[in-house]
Amino acid sequence: MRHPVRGILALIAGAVSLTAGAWGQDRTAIICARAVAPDGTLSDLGAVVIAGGKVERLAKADEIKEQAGLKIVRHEGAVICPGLIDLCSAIGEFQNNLERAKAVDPSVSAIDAVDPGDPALGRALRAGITAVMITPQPSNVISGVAATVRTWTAGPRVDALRTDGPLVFALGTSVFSTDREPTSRPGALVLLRGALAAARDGKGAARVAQVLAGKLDAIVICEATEDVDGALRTFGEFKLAPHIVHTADAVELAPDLAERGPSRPATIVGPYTFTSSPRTLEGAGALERAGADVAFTGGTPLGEAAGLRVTAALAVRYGMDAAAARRGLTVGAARVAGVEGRVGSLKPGMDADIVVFSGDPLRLESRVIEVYVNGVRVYTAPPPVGQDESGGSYE
Amino acid sequence: MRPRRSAACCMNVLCLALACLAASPVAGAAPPTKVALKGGRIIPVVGEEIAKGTVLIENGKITAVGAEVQIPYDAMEVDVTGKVLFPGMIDPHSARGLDVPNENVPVSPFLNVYDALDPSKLFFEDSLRDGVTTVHVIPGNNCVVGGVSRVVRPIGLSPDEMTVRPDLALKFSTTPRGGYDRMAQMAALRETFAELDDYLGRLAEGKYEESLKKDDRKIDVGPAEARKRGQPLIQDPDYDDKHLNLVRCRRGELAAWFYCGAATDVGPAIALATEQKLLEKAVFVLGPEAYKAAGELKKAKRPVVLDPLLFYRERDELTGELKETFVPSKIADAGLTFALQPSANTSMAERYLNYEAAVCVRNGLPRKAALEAITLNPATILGLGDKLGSIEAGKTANIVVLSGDPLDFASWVELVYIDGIQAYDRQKDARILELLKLERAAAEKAKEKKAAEEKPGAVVPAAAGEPQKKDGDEAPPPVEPKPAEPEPKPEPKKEKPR
Amino acid sequence: MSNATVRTCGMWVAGFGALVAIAGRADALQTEQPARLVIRVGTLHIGDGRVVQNAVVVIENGKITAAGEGSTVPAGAGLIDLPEGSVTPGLIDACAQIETRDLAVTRRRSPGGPGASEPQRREAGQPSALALFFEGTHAEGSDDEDGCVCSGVAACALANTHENLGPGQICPVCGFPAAPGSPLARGLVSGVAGGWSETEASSEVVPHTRVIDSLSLRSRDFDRLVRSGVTTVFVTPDSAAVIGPQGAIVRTAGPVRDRLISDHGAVEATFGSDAYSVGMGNSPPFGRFVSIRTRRPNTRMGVAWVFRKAFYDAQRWKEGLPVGGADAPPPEALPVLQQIREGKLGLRVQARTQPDILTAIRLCGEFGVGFTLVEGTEAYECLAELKLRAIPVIFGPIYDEADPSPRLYSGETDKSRLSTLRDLIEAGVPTALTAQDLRDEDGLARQVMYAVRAGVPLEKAVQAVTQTPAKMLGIDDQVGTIEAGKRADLVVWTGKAFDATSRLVVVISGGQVVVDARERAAAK
Repeated sequence: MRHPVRGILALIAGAVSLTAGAWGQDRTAIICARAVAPDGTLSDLGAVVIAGGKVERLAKADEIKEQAGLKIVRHEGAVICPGLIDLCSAIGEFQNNLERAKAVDPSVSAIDAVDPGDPALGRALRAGITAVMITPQPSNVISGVAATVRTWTAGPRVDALRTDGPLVFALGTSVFSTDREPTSRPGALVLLRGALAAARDGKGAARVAQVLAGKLDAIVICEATEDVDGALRTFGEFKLAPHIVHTADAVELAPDLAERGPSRPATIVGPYTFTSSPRTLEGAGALERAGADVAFTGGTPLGEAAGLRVTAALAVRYGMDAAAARRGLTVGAARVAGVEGRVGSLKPGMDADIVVFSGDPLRLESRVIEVYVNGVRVYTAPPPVGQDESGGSYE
Repeated sequence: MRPRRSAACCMNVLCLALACLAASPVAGAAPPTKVALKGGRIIPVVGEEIAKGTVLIENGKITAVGAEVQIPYDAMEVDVTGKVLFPGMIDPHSARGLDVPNENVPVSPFLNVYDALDPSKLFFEDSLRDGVTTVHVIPGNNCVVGGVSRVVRPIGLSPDEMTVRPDLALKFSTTPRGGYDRMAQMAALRETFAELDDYLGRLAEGKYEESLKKDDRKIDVGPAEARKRGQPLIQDPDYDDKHLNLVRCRRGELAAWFYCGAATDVGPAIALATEQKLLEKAVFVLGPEAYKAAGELKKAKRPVVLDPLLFYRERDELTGELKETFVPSKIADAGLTFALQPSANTSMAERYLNYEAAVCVRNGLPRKAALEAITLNPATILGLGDKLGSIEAGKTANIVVLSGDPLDFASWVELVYIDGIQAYDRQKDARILELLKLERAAAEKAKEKKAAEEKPGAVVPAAAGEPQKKDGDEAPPPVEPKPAEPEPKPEPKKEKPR
Repeated sequence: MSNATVRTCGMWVAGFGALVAIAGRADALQTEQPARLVIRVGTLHIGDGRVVQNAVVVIENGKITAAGEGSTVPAGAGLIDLPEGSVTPGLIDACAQIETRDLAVTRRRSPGGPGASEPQRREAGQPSALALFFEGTHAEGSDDEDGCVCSGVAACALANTHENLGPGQICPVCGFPAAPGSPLARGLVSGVAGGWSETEASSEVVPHTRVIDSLSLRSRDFDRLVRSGVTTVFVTPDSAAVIGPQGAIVRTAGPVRDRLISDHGAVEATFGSDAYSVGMGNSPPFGRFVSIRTRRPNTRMGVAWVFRKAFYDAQRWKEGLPVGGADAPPPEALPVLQQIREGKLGLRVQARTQPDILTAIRLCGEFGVGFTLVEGTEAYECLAELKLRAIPVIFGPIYDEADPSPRLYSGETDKSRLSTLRDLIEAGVPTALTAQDLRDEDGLARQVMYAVRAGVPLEKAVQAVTQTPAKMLGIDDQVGTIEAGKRADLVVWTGKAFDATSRLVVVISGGQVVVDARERAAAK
């Protein structure tokens, strides 16, 4: 068990669940029309049975029979989806994560900046986002380690799924400063190369050494094309293939970002908005067609919490495969965050972090109906007022 | 009215001006009345080229052009063998003769470039150097109604001496002036003419009333009728400065030049010109993008002056690809008469009109059309087609002697004749000599020669420094062994890590 | 008015349809080309000063297999046949500044905006191209692209949002933190977007950094270069540091992955005012905030001091002596400086005025370092010294009066002469010609035209953009001349090469036709 806090958190969760009178003995079945399968498709295994805060099994809607100890929740025509995961968010840590003193600062951790009382966490939860990977601001070449936390909080602590990774690197104008080096891209890459080389020679920071040893995953936030090129080149010199965050020129970089070795590093794009240029919006589709794994960042908390789903929807609108987009919202994002063993897909044994949407999560008119965390319903949306319920789904 | 002297009576003063330019061959002496430019290749623009011929100039006019011309005994013969005679080029639209292009009063039809023309501007010297013999000086584009223009030659000590044609056109702009938007621009233009109509009405009414006063009568008709009756009573001195030039423009005494920086500005300009009955004498000065309105301009059947930037480049939003449009081709395709204007940027080759013509040929325009766009077309557009723009008997003797073909970028302007007077000689142009270091080269050559003379038997070294004439007809030498010369050592560089 | 607007809008749409794209993207054309390509032209410029009439060039597998007089075309070969035309080697710019963001490209805006020409802007009393360049930066971020990818700080700085942010606050427009200072004002002075230089500014001595790290090999600038016939460039850093980064040698066309020839090109040093005024500039500590930029140099004396100190420290480092004190170079720079001293890495010095050129000669002589002179506006004043010490020159651009650019604002271009290249070549100084940052119509081909106009024989001028730079870059075994065995980088012209009336119709890089405007030429 990597997470020392997990036990405590489980206890808290348990306490809450007990008050709901369900955990430990009873099971819950959520019966909808369809569900988002681990491969991203909409399967007709639309019912999920939850036991002990975990997914017990998936079934077709008509296979679930009334039985003692099984609480049944029905949503006609709805879609069950693993809780969405937003990447590279500053949620809960906004304005608290800007450490600029040292350009190479692997020792800081985003988890230390999180404020569980941030209302943005609740907004995200209500938008169907059950977990966010929070990163330090990309203001340093090595910005620190990210953490992945649940958006549902009970009491003064956040429910962290992971606190020690991945290690966040950043390239671009955001790392420049007039008070310290670097002030330029070449300068930034000198620092990056220096840090990696030092770690290789056993002189560098422990976390960077872990990255080199393949024990810690890396994610590089790249502002411009040349930053992506620089990242691929520099990490390539050390035989590393990190996840890349880059949006603007993804359409052009797609061939280079796809097929980068057996670890299948992902590319994170977003946020997309309705005012983004078509060239930007075509990026996700181009990446997906080139064979890259794509995940999304929704731009919280600067943007709307719904921005994550809008980003994926726009990616599909501009040519991305719908199943791949759903994967990017769920299991793909969980993989980037390194929490795919616990959340992100509806498989037996996974934590029951579940969102019930009124339709395909990629459709804009689909609403969040209910949100479950650890099998417990933590949010129920008010009934819609005069809303059109005719939404279908992308196939 | 300002005093205006006719240009023809300024010969002596003109000559003084030439002396100042350090270019006059016979400073102080009266210029010869008859000049024969003999032995050059003549590109008359109108009519066939003459491989070797003579142009005879008498009293500032061309009197004969041909392969065989009888040269009068009293004509000064100038041997231009091996050179090319070309009509003096015409800059159809320039604010550079002025101290400031635009007054900061947006509606200023009362202004006249006459008051701001600065004969000592380097621009005029540069024009001469670049083979431009006629410049249309007009207020800049940053205006609503800019003021009255004037056609000048780039020589003379005062605006009067320079003048070829006073008061040619009134400048308008449908492109928003700096800091304003199109709505404000068009509102100001409409307001100008609405106010003019109102003023004219009131003036007519006043005149009618005045005429009645003589007979001790009071107005006995309605205002509309009074205006109608008063209209014929108005005489030019009755107009105030603000309105006189607008009235002259409406009467066709002044042409209306519209600046249209973008395609969207062309429609309103044509509509306004039509509405105000200015279209017949309208000329449209276009920005690079305005070619997209070629269809509308074609319907208006009016000539255009193009931007020095002959290409319009535009980036595809999605792919980022660059699309390049050659503007003169689009304008020529629309069948419009067009003139090219030189760039104000002296670091660019586009400052030479003949280079701009060469770029047109490079991009597919016929040679004739390209040459006309810098000579005959601007002359026609300025209403001076019968006097300027070609080497023909009867026209003003504005002739440029080039070292080679006008479309060859290596050609230099050797001599310039304006009104039959030699106004420029490259061999005496101090600035060119300095830029090309010809003076120094000549001095060194003389020094070497002297040294060689002192040492009998020494070989006189070949001239260095004089730009070598390019001759297209001469066959380049056959393959020769590689000339021995200092080898640049490669800059060491680290091996690229693989 | 509204009617007219509606009408013209419709017309715009129609106008767009009529646009002609003269050249596709370089990669797009590389499909299904015959294995063997033959070019038959009236004139072949070999690049080393020789010319062949009625010549044929045969290209196989990306290499030139034969070049010389002839007219027979082997069967089964693709043919580019221009009896009037000529062919030259692909042009090489030995000192190109690459515009990573390609902001200079016209966007459709109201005239007086970036679409308007310089004379119009001046005439209209509107800001110069330089100011509009930055207006363009802002447009890039604000209304054309996503709010979030607005080239970060530069764009928002122009919107003044960053100006109002406190330290550590995040810009609501771009999501990036507040930038120190006022990049806008500095940018306008320096000509570097937003005041951020591409050159590392944390030290004046940064030879350990590399231009390749700030360079996008996908930059649209390469497309513009290849369209003007330039197939190989040495990418030079801007002149913001006394001893700047290592340049890169890259091809302008072909697959992006194959474009890089060397990422460890010569280091560029700067003598003259650029070293302390380009980029954010240095400042003395009087009455200003003290930052890492409060340092030497602020004068030419300072430039010389920093340069000398760097090489002096490199010597100490080599001898195992401690290095330190004011203006000590970063430790990473020392081995690189030593490599320069040992002749393992090239050194270039950008100097414009005669005193700066002479200072460069003196200081480099002091440490026994050979160098290549770059720009050399007043090189005509130093011909004897350059010749005596066999210092090659990368001269250019040629201009009468400088454009509004860092060059002009340096105040070091007043004594520019049209004849400098001619003087250098006649004096026997190996000289390459560069257009630096000038592009398109104003690019390297036009520099050759200027040279010829100023009296340089055409063959010498061609050599100055082909063989000579290839030799300087040490790639003359691959490119620079049209000879059997060389890489097939060629430029085909409709008429006489570099003539004002002939067009560059075909550009071939590595045997692949990357620009093909033959159809448009035929339409003529």
